[in-house]
Amino acid sequence: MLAVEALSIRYGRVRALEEVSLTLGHDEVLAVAGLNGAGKSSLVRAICGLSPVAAGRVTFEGRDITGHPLYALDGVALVPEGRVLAPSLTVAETLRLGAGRVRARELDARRTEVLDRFPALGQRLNQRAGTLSGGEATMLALARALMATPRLLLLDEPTLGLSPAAAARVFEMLAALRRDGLGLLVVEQDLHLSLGLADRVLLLRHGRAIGQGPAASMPDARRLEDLLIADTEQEQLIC
Amino acid sequence: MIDFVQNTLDGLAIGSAYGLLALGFTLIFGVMRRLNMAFGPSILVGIFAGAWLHSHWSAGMIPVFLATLAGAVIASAYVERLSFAAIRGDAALASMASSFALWMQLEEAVARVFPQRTYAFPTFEGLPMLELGPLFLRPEYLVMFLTAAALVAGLQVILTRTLFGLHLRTLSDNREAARVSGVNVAQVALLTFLLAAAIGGVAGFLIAATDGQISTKLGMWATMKGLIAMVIGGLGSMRGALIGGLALGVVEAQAQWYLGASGREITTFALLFVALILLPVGLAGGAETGARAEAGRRL
Repeated sequence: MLAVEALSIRYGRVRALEEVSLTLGHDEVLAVAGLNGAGKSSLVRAICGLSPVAAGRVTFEGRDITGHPLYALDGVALVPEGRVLAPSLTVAETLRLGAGRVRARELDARRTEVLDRFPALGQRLNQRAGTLSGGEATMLALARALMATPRLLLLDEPTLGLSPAAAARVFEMLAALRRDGLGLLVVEQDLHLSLGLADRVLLLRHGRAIGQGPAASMPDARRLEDLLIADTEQEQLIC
Repeated sequence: MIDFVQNTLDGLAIGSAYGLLALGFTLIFGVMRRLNMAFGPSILVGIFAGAWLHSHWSAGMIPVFLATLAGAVIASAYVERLSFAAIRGDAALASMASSFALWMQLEEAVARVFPQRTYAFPTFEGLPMLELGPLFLRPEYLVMFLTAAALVAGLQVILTRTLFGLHLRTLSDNREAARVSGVNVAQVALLTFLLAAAIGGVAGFLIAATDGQISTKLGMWATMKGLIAMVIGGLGSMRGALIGGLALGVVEAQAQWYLGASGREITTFALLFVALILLPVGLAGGAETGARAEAGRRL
């Protein structure tokens, strides 16, 4: 479904990402792990056209989407780092925003489906996004993305700032989405959570892929964290 | 007392046109976070397009109105492409300076094509003066007020009932939220610019049709009135733009009556000065700005 080939990103002279490649199939979860500054967010933002691509290619369902802006990508949605909601919009308006240009009947159907997943939001439809708690705001960001009926969902630190219980609920929700056939690319600092969900893991360090492989064959979360912190060059840690 | 009420009535009518000018500024500022200094001169282009149609082809009010609107929108699209779309990133000052240059360019272009000091503009002839007991209301003032009210109501519908309005409000609230939600930010920004130009064109037409004559100074006049009304009402607040416009109109009308023409100008700028010192967030900006900041902090 998604293929990234030798993707490089530069911000001026800074090399944020160097020739990173990955693939992701339908109803598959790929976790991207790395320390701060490893290039995880840049990778996600470049896939959906929010960061400029210096070199490489991104294809989605066989179409070249390299550099295509998010509004032009049918089937791809993003849950950005920090949720990034418009605080003065209501929950209902935020959901409407996520749906894009659709007919009223289709909009109602999507809204019903999304609110079935997030019943708490249904009780807050007229509440402004800026007044929601952190957990609710995360749910709203997720719901907004799902209103676009994506086949590929990109998630950048979805549990940032959440309590462990709320973070676990977010990952339960992601597991349910995978069961429903969505492909998920998840950037997550909590390796314990991401290893529990992911089929495969991509490890980044200083903008380079240092390993990629099945989650089951990865070391446990603590060991993996140690490996990411380790200052030694470990090219192709796991293949 | 009758004079005071009469002045207030007149001031509210002309203030509604000021409110529309401020609304145009506010729409652009809200979405772009940049000031369009060429807003008034864009309206000037529209008004002179209407005046040309009127003087060369004896066109009636409706064609003149449409020409005014079209001229303002086309001139605004030119400004948007050069001073806003072409200058990306965090460059509000560059955009403002660039639009100031286009102000000079547009005004000079109009002055070259129309070298006379003043030109005639069609007026609302034949409409009877309205009597409300001891008070009078000029028919063009009534048209001005009702048109402004209808336009504001229409704008409210666009903002709250359409997808474009939702995109515009999102962009105004949080540009990044619009981008990550799949909004075509550049397209919404351009359409907002054109919408603001159309509102400004209507305001310009109403003002010109009320006076019956126009000069090339009208561009600067419209910029000043719109900016002052926006600042008095509260930067970035649509409600504030309307309140600021009405307040400016009423104060001007009272000052004109009690202090004369020169006193009116002094009072206008004194009002701006007082508003900036005592109420820097504007008449309506405080509550909105505070609520938005609080909401942003929570997110």
